[in-house]
Formats: sequence, C-alpha cells, structure tokens
Amino acid sequence: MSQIVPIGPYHPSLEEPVHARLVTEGEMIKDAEVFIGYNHRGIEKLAMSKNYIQATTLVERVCGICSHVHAMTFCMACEGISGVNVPKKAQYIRVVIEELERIHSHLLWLGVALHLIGHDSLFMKSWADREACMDILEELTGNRVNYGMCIYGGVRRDIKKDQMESVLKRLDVIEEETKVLTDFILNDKTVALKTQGVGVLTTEDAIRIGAIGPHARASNVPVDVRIDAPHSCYDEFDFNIVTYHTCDVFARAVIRALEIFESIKIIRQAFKNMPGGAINLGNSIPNIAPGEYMCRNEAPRGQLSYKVVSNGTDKPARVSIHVPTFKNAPTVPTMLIGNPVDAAGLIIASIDPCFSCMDR
Amino acid sequence: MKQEYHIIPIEYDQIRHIARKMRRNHAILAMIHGYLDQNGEPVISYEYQLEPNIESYTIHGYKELPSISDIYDKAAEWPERELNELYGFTFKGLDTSKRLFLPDNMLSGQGQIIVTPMEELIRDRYVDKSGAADNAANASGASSGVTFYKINTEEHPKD
Repeated sequence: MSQIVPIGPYHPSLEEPVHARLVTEGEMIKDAEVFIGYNHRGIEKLAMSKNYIQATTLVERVCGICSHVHAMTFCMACEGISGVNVPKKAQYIRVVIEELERIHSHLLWLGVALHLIGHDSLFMKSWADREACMDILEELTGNRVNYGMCIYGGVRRDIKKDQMESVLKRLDVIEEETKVLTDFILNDKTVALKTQGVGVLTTEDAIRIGAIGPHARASNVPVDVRIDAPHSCYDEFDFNIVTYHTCDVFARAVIRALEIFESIKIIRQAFKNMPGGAINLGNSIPNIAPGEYMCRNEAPRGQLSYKVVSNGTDKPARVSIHVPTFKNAPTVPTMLIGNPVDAAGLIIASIDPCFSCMDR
Repeated sequence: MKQEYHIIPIEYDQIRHIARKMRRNHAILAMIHGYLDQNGEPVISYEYQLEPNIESYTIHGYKELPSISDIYDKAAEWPERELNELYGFTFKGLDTSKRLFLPDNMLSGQGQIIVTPMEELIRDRYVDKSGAADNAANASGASSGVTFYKINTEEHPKD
C-alpha cells in the first residue's frame, strides 16, 4: 500500500524551504513531486522601481552564496544594451571574485553533503577550508558576503600587488587542503556507501529535463557557459570542463571537489596576466538607451541568465532572473524515484539547490 | 568566440513550429521571458541557446499563446507557469491547476503580481489580523510587530 510522505517546506535535512511530496511503498520512493515558492520576495518587481545602481545592489541580494555572480551578470546585461566596453582589468578582477565565490560555494556544498551523510569530521574540515577562502574574499572586497565589487562599467575596488601575493599564498594552502578532502571523498567507505548509486540522473534524463552546471556535468554532460559561450575575458584562460560518468550523488561530490582546482588555476592565471589601466568607467547613475539584452554566466550552481529591458530612463523596465536551480529542481523527482526515504534529504541537496535564488 | 544576443521577431503561428525545429536541433530552451513594453503591449520572448549565442524569438501583442511544454517538457512548463502567475499570460494546453510560486489562494483567477501596482496588492489583499487600519503603510510592514494574514474576502467576509 502506498503512502504519502511530505518533506518540508521546513525540515531539518533541508537548508532552505522547499516542499517534496513522496509517494512511498514501504521504504522506497515510487513517485515524487516538488513544490517551490516559499522564498518568493518579488525581487524582479522591486528592481523595476530602482535605478541601475540600486538595482545592482538589490540583485546581489538574490543569493547570499553566489551574490557576486548575480551583480556581475546584471551589469553585463546592462552593458550589453548600451554596448559599453568594460576595461580589461575590471574583467579580470570580476573573474577572480567569481572563481573565489565558486570555490567557497563548492566547499560549502561539500560540507552540507558530508553532514547529511553523517560524516561530521569531514564536514567540519570542508567548512574550515572554506574559511580560508572567505578570508581572501574579505581581504579583497571588504565583505564576506555581498561583496559589492561589481558596478556598471567595471568594479569598485582594485586588487593590489601585495594583495595578490597574499592571496596566492592562501590559495596554495586551500589547494593542499582540498587535495586531502578530495582524497577522503574518493576513498572513504562511509562516503561511498551513502552516495554511490544514490539519486541517479542518467545522461539522457539530464539532457531531456535540461539540467545544467555541475549537476549536469556529474551526469556526464559537458556543459559550461565559460567555455561554450565565453563572456567577460574567460576565453583568455586555460582550464578544463570536469565531467564524471557515474551520474549519482558521489559524482556530484567529485565534480565539485575537482572544479575547485580548475578555479584555482584560473585565479593564478588572472593574477599572472593582470592588465593595467582603469577599473571602471565612473560612478554616475547610467541612463541606458532603450533596448534589451540577455546575458549568461556560469554561476557556482550552473548557468545564470539575466534579461534586462531598458526604456531609456535610469530604471530598468524589466529584470528577469533565471537561476540554475530553476533548471535543476525539476530533475529531483526523477532522482528520488527508486531510492529509500532516508536518502531523500541528501538527493534533494545533491543538486546544490538555492531556493532563495530560484524563488527570487 | 564570445556570446552574442540576437532578437528575431516572429508571428503567432511560428511559435510551436520554431520550438519543434529547435528541439530537433538539440537547442536548449534557456528561458521564456515576458514583459510589457513602453506602450503596455505584452511581449514574450523564447530564448534558445545556439552556442555560443542566444536567439531570442520575440512576439508582440498576445496575452494568450500556445504552450510548448509538450515539446520542451519542464524546461518550458515552469517558465510558462511562472509567466502565468506573475504576469497573467495564458498558455493553451498548459496545466495551471496548481500554483508554482504563489500560494494557491493568492490572487484568485490569475496572478498578475508584477503588473499590479504594489499599493493595490497591499490594499486589496492583506489586512492587519488585529483588525487595525487596512492601509498601505501598515501592510507594507512599516509599523513594526504587525503580522499580516491573507483574507479571502469571498470565504471570510469582513465583519
């Protein structure tokens, strides 16, 4: 006899509110449905009443983990409408912050996943490593979250030479510690037992439903906006798309661990080749000509897109935000089916969901 | 090669034809966007990823459109439901019996939260549970410590 097991919207195994309704037979999940909208804050509507500088600050608050990438993509869309060329140095600084954000986001997710499988020692190690990354972000931007680095036409702060040296030293430590963490994830029996073969999303299903980002790459789908459709100055860096073939929660952990090394590689190249010159085009409130533009960026969780419509005033006529979780959340029911109920929390978390982003 | 954005105007009859063609060519549907232009005319744009570019097929003047959720599965269904709830666009063939973002009983009929002025949303939809002044300043949370509850005026007429 089948029974309905509701999880959420508020549940100890969920980091953010979402509601999943599981149809179970015994311990096994036979069908599932996901309901969203518990964090809807009307940010898109609010953005239409703010000028472009205020709107940049607002969209940065869509997400507390990947805040920089929101502000950056919004600015890129606005710059796309007006055809402004952002100074090369500003592009490099944007990339550095974006990759640092990716490192801390991946370490955060690894910690959450390890906590959910009951391996709290590794959880604490992962978050301790993340602290080093947070310290770097604080040193460069002045903030641990909501960095306020991006402005229309560039960035707000420069990165000085002594800061680069300090960051490179800390990155060496993060790299060494991440090697240890990756080694644990690949070889630890507890991790293997709890994640291998759990929450499988086949390559075919990932393409059909439209999964993106590390979630898709863990299903062996090689998609990455930074390489498929480069923006900013990403075409000037040498790095790889990491994919894995097992399509389960284990693959999602491995992908995120290995992507940290690629991000470190990009930051080192950026510091080595950092150009000189201006970092922005000034701080005046922009009046953008009428038009529309859509810009994509590879956020830590996958493709983030912003569509901005301008009516020629200092306020946007429409800001449409499309986040990776909006694409990845529909894959959750497919992954849940055929797994035991006790794995549901981990499977939902395995897409690295950000329901604040998704609900806006 | 860097990403570019191309806008291509289309007619009503082309929507499903283009969706089928894109699906055959394995183009990802990045998003369906909707907004009202300067003249208040509804605009819908179907954004397809043809790497490294986005091709935006845009249609003006229709509030009711054919659904492409049978062609693009959830990749189209969720954006269409979002547009239905937030903008009031309707899509023929789309199941809107359940809400995606908003509570089931909010803005009964069709949700138009983005196009409805904020003052109207606040004045008409929320009142102070204690029965205090039903005004925009209170309802926006300007007065501290006030909790607001949705009142369905049909089921629960005000005393």
